[in-house]
Amino acid sequence: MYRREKMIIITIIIILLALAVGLYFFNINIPYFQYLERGIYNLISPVVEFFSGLYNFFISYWQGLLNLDEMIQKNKELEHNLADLKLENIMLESYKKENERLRKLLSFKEHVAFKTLGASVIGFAPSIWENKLIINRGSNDGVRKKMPVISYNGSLAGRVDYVGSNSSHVSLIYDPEFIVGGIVQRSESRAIGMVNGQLNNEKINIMDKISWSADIKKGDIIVTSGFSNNYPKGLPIGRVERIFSDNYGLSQGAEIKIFSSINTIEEVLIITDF
Amino acid sequence: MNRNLIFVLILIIGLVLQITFFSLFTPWGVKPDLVLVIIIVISILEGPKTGLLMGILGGMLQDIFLGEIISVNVIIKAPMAFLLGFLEEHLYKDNYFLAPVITFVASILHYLLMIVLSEELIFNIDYWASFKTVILPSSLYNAVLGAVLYFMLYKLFNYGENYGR
Repeated sequence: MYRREKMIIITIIIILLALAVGLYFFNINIPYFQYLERGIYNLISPVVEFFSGLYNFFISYWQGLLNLDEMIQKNKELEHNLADLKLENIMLESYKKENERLRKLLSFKEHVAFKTLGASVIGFAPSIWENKLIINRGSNDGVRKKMPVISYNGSLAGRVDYVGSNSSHVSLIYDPEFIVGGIVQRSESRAIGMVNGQLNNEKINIMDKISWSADIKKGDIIVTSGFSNNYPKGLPIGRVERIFSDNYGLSQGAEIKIFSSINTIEEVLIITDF
Repeated sequence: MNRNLIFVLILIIGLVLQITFFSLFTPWGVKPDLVLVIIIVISILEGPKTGLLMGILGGMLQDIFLGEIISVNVIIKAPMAFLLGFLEEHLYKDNYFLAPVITFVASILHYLLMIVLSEELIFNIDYWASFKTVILPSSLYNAVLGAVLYFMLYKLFNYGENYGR
């Protein structure tokens, strides 16, 4: 009797496992599972945010204690810088007004800045193979899937991949699944290609499918081309490190050193409108 | 408090720590898989039934935080935990060295299976380089965490006293 029960349990487990494998390989989405997924995700992500806040607080407090002298020095320096920048800002303000006036005179189209939303990084993907960030903004803040994400220095960092109600996932630019159209920023070149991430290499992306005769050289800055509707034009991606011949010499490829770095990303900006 | 409930809590705490602390604190760039470690250790302490429960729950939690509720993690972790659970009857629980060894071997197997089952990994990676730079160091890290967790759970639930039941 005991043996028979055991066999039944094992059979049920095997059937469930086969179902799971089927769901995974044929990409079947069951709505009920999605509710469950979202429910659990939205339940746990605030805990994650709390923990990461606690961790960051202790780390910054500890570092502050260790480097107190340096901080005082730095504070003085920054105060000086701030005074200079305030002065510069006043000057720039007047230039801005002048610029606006001249634009109106020449009836140029006004340059529209992107609408951005700031977010802090609260965690990383729980897998050794994937490069994803978890940020503390979700559908309640107006975040939608596929929105581009930039780091605070303005360079492309990734794309929103999954949206919960108060947090979302950002697939990073180094992820092998990440592909974006790139263009050489130099005005006399404008060579185009596709930039993709490489697995386990957080610094170098590969730009390929560059035409054989394209003018591209080491040190060129690559920006987003804006040919697809997913990314705005002109976001910096990285700098060309090395050129190589691709497709048996039919096209060129380039190694691109990425501007944004995963270890220093603490806050990001989501472009909500462009 | 029900023991299984405590295990579920440990799993959730493990997931949160994996997402925050263990992704930021990565010595030599090595990232462990804490959820996997918890599942393995609980399986070899408690047997196949609890192991399976932990495998399904842990795998699902991990997959939810990767964007899909049923994905590679639950497919690999659930049967693995179930099978590891059968070791429970054959292990001397007093021997602290068994846990890290089992964790190490199971981690390697888990990572290899993950490559085989992920479309984006199997066609994109350099197998030998990944084995040397990712799988091996991460499995070693897991083994260390496994030893610590095994010791903690062993002391917490007094597994030593249950002999001669």
